[in-house]
Amino acid sequence: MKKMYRIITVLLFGMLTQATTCEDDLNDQRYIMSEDKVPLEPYLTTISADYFQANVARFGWKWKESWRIGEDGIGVRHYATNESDFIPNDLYFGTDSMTVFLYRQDSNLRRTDSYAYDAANNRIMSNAVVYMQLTYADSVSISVIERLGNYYYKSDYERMLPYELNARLNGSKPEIR
Amino acid sequence: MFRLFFLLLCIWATCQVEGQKLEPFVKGGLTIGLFDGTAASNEDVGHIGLNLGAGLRVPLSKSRSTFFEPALVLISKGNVYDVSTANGRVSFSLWYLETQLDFVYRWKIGMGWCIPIGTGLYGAYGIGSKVSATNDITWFRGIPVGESPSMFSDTVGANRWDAGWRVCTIGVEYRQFVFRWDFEAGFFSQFHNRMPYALGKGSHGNNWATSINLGYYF
Repeated sequence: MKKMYRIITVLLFGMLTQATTCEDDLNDQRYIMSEDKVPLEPYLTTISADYFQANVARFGWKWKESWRIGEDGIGVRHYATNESDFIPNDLYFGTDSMTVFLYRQDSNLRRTDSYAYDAANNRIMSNAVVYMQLTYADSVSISVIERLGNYYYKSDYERMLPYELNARLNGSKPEIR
Repeated sequence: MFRLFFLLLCIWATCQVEGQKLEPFVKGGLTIGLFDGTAASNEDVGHIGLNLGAGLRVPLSKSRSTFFEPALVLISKGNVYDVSTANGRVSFSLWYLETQLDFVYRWKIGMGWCIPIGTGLYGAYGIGSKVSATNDITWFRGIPVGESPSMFSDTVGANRWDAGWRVCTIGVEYRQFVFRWDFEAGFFSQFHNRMPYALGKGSHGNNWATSINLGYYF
């Protein structure tokens, strides 16, 4: 009988461990780290400038989820909290300018800069600096590798509906720099 | 290669002793290749290449209904992928020098007409490769296709050696001429790095190929 209790205890412990292990928090993709510690998408496929203009540009993109990429190349799901230095942004790509909607305490700001799309490496360049790398795109979602603060993140965005984009534009003030 | 030559010499000598007539043949045609056969997605288009070879038909019975057919073939395999995000295609071509060892039963159906049905094995060595892309595609699933790397380089990681089962060969023969359809499947994954994962094949990436050939027996 004692042995039976032990087996049941071990089984229950195992079930509890399984139930509380949050595997969803780990991104199943391991990023290749360059010599200067920039994560590179291991399965990068070209997204042409034509495809970018047809499916990504002229649309707003709302942040969905992010994984912080560590120096070991593993992405861990990142949650935006008040204490966190990570504040997700929404995006709008025009034909030659991009707008970043910044959500800060007490004020919603937007920052507009010119950008260029580099189809050779799927990079969105702004002011001659890599702003983000597009790793996936279709007509309703995009995935990017972006640097926010001191860390790199793999972030997913989904396409805004026109009224959502209008709400963002009308509900934010241009950032004073 | 010397061993193969020696084997063929032995077969020829045996047949001479047995009084059987050997028939050399040449063949050539088209080959459609895929990595692992089952398409990972609708991106797999299939690679169309050529095959050209020569061999010997060795009778295994007095009635001349069963044959051993060793052949040396230059064959092109690989795969082609549609890249929807760039409105183009990426092609992986591999050239092999392949030894085919077929056992064929020839079913006579009329005056000069036969249906050959067979199966066998193959062993191949990669002698050349080409990675190409259309529409300025520079990257395909992590492979820098814009740089046209060799398939046998570490970047792509294809194995030079391949071996597999010639699952089926079937066709129609009329006198010296033969039209055949072959299907062969590799035993082993053709890649030794992350390429099969990149192609969505898990740990697989075996060469599958189907060919249609025209041949002539001398």
